[in-house]
Amino acid sequence: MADNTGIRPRDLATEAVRDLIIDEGLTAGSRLPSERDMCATLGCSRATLHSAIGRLVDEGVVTSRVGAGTFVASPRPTINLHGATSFIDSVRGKGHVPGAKVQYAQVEPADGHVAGRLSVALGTPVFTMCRVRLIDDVPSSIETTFIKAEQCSGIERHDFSVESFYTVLREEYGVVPLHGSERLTITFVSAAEAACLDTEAGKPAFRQSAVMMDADGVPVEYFRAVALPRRISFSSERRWRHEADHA
Amino acid sequence: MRSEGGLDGASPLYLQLREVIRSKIEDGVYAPGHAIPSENELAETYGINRLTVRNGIDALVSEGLLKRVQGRGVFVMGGKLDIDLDTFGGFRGRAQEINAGASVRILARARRSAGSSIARRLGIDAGDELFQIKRLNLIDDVPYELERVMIPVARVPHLDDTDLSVFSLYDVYGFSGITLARDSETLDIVTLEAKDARYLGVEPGSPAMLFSCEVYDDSDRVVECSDTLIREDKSRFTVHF
Repeated sequence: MADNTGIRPRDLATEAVRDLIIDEGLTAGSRLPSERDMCATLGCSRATLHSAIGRLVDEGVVTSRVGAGTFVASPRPTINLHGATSFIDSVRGKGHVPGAKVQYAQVEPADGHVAGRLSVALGTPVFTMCRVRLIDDVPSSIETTFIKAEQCSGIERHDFSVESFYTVLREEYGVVPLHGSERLTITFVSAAEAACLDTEAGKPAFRQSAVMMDADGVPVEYFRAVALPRRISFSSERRWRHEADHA
Repeated sequence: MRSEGGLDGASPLYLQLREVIRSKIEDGVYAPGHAIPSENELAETYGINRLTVRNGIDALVSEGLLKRVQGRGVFVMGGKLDIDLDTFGGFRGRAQEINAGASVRILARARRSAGSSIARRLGIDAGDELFQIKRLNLIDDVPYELERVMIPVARVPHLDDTDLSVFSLYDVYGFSGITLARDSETLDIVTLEAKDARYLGVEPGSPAMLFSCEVYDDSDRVVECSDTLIREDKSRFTVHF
């Protein structure tokens, strides 16, 4: 645990716990050694170990249950910010079961914010749907989506707690959100959001928002979400382009 | 050697400048992925006016050898490494590469053995050595990011001798003949402990974005991995796709 590298004891302990999980071959659901044993093995204080475990809980590596101990977590779904995989595929990809609860789904007049995002006049009818996304039946995010009503007349008949919104959009209405720009920031969960997400108000969470466009560059969907970091992580990829690729 | 296209002293100045810049790119004086001197600097160096400089640059931009980036300068495209400016900065808005007031403070650097978890990220053995660099990224002296970068020693043996206040790690990769191809990034939200919070100038217990990244070369080997804590109020990622 000696640190001549400028790295905090807490960060060293965090890394040591990660190493231990690999070296001991621990898998999802495995219980970590007791705190006392880990402190002895890693040569760190209880406080440092607590702090390290707290970080690993934040990162979805372990879960901690009072009285029961610390367990290796099963991998969280990762949402690709380039829109390459849907929520459903991301969740299934990590071996979890996706679900949704529809909070409301109705046509309403666009307010200034939504009108601006969709490039329509104030008051234009917009299909608005708010869903709580579930992972293994546990709330993980609140998503609200806005689509021009004229593009999807009658869409409110569908039950999007079971149907895929994008499949209906594509197959019934020929609306294909193809590309767009997406933004990710930190927000703090409001009381109303906390109630839906079964968490405490004021907790930090991801705030995701995106304007999606069709092949002609026309905005077709505005989307925003509040996602709990312990349930979902986000990923992206960046590529360097080389001369040969231009050919 | 490429033909100079019959240019001589009688050719228009902008065409002469075009060939000067072209040969500097070919000779590696202006490295791919880097900015060439500003129009003002080129005008002064060659004693010609800015409009002439601009015309010379425009010719190379239209050939695809240079690329203009609004507010950042003119970048070399040709040759090997070149940053895809359409997605460059991807989800990380890399403010420090855009902002003129950006600076980096190296807090610590060390050689250490990898250990299992870092080794797995880097695709090396747990006993292999790596360079570890901890740095604070600032803009106009305001701390934005606290970053830990880990690089296998075998990839960049001369990193020890390199002045990182002068050269970026990307420069060092270039010196080592490494061509970067892609990176893979994940984002989490974590709670800052007291000392990290102090570095970042925020209250202990504040949330921060944790940006974890692996950078790959053109043979899909990991060149570096990093963990970066970004202040909540400075965390904004935008992706275009």
